[in-house]
Amino acid sequence: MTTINRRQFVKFGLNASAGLVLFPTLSNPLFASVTQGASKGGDEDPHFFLMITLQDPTGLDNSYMFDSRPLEMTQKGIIQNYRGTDPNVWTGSNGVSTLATDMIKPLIPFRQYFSVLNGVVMDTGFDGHDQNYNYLFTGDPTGGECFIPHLNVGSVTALDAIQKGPFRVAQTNGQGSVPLSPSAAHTLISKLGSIPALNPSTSLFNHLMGRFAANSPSGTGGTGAFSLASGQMGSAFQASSSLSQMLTKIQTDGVDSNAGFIQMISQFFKTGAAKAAILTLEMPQGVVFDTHDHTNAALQPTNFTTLTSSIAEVFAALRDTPYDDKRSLFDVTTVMFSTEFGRTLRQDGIPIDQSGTNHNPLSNSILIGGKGIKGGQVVGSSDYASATETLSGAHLAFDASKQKAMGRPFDFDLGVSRTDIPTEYKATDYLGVNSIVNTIYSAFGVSSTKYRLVERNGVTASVIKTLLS
Amino acid sequence: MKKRLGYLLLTMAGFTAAFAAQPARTFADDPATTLRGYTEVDRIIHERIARTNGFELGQYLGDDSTQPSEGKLLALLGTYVGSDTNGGYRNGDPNSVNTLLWYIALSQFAQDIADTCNKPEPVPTPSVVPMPSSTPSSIASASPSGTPELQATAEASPSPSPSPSESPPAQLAVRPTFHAALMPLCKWPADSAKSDTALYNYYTALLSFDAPPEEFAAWKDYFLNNAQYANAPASTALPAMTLAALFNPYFLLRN
Repeated sequence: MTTINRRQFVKFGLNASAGLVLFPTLSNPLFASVTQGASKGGDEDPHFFLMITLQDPTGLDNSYMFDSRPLEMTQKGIIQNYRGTDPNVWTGSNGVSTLATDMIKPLIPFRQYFSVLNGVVMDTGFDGHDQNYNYLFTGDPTGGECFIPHLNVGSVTALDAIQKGPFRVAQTNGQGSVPLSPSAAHTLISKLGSIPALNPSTSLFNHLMGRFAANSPSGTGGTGAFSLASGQMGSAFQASSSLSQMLTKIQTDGVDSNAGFIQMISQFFKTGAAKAAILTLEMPQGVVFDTHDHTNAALQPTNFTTLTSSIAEVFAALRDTPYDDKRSLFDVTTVMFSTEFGRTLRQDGIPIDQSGTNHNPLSNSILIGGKGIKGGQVVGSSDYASATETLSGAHLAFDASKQKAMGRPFDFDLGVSRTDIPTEYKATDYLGVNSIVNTIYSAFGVSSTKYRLVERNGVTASVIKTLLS
Repeated sequence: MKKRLGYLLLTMAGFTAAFAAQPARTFADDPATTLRGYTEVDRIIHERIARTNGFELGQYLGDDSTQPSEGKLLALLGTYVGSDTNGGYRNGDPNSVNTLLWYIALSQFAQDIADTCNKPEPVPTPSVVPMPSSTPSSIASASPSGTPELQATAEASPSPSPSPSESPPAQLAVRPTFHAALMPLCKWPADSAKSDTALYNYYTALLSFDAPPEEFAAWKDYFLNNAQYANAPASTALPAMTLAALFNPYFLLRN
């Protein structure tokens, strides 16, 4: 299914070494299959997108994953830590290191599949869940154009995206993603067998289309809200005919597992019914990441193991689901995992061993990999990495009480964090989520007219070229 | 403009209650209106057509819930989700999936209405009409002779057998007033079924005054003159006539 060239072999060898040092009991990633290197060009260049997220409200304490802190900082009352152990050094294929906890062990077999982005600045103006959830997907805390429909480049798909689990971004573009769990899809497909087939060549189909057209702006319906929707409905009805034919080719076992969803979206991708999917991971009852209290905060080591196991399950399904006889689904899909923001190091005025965490949009962590993305890297970093670090004026302007980590300034040419300590915050100096979206846009060949700005009325957010394969 | 004004007056005169419950939407908020959604259409169908006997439109999509829940197909037909700042009406913009789902539900519903021609007149009081467990659902037992033209290729797709674990859905039983409007059409293609009065009564029994006169005229003209349906038996024409009326933007979209 995969091939490894010499350059990749060297790279993997380096990473394998790092992996062996850090996690000697875990399998050597050198022997894991590799997803990079899918051929490009022509109609044999499929490119899909999978967004993995958690249901808002979340916001992950990334100190339990790939942006951890030494235990010494807990002992000095700076950051809560219910692991009780020091993290390990995780070195990316680009030579950049970060601290990672044991909670990420389930992801180690996939370390070449994804890059870790740390210190990602979300919306500095709001720290609410919904605002940052909207900001992640639309670039605007109040909602707007979601980036996912823009990935439908050069093709018209029946659906913007298929989703499993809730996805409630305030989206103004596209048709919206369609929540279609494997069981719901199974029902839909089975029901298709019990109805008249949608046949655009019949006169009744054309009569129905005629009524939509007559009441649309292109008919005599004017340009009001009803007419616009009637026009939309005509287009949708036309598309539903194609979709129904596509669906008859899709088989789903109706099992609502994450792996079942991955297998299902593979078929949707193949038929052209959709190019993107959104998977909102469902966590077991009681697994909470929005930890404003000690009780839930203390459960984070267990909760994060559950989470990373769930992500690993998805990665495995992507790797093990063939797209065709040469490529896995991972080979043809760009994959991103993110929630709306990170979390504070601690809560103000509470003993460190009793502290939960609050929201922190100044530093988020994102995993990204698959087609078009160089896996295995560590990109970006957050400050307040040691008890003695001098925080920048830019940081203190947002966080005078030093409860948060903040992304460090970022060199977009070199793809690494800068070492300077700015006195004032300039959004262009930081690795913002808008740059990550633009990097995805670049990988998909989205028109630069769609690129996000660094901030409202600002310049276009820079693409992270070193992240592109 | 005149058409919409006329429609507005008709609506205000007779059906303000039905529309009063709808949330106000502005052009600034959303340039296009949305589908009415499952809950509202199901309510309208029960007001005009179906008796309250446990029958739910959603059973044509394998779900006889009265309220759609997230993750189920009914929610894709348009539903309210959540109460936080990102909560709101979801899946209401027409797309290929919800349009297909409406087509699946309404085409089966239209077939069941047509099958009512062969049933006795309903008693005026609502009552539950349980379907014998040994009898296949009317949903899955549409007569091939009763299929509209769109069913031309349906023969290749066998109807699924009901799952043994599923309890049989309640059979459609129509309201007496609707039954009275339907019966003349059951005699199609007799001249009496093609009278303006019969056609208008049936059309308004389905759509009330939701649609402007032009829609009735187009519907009537199509079925009176289309070679496929003009002289076809009621078992062929009536499902198509019903589907064509219900699968109209004035029925499915908020207005």
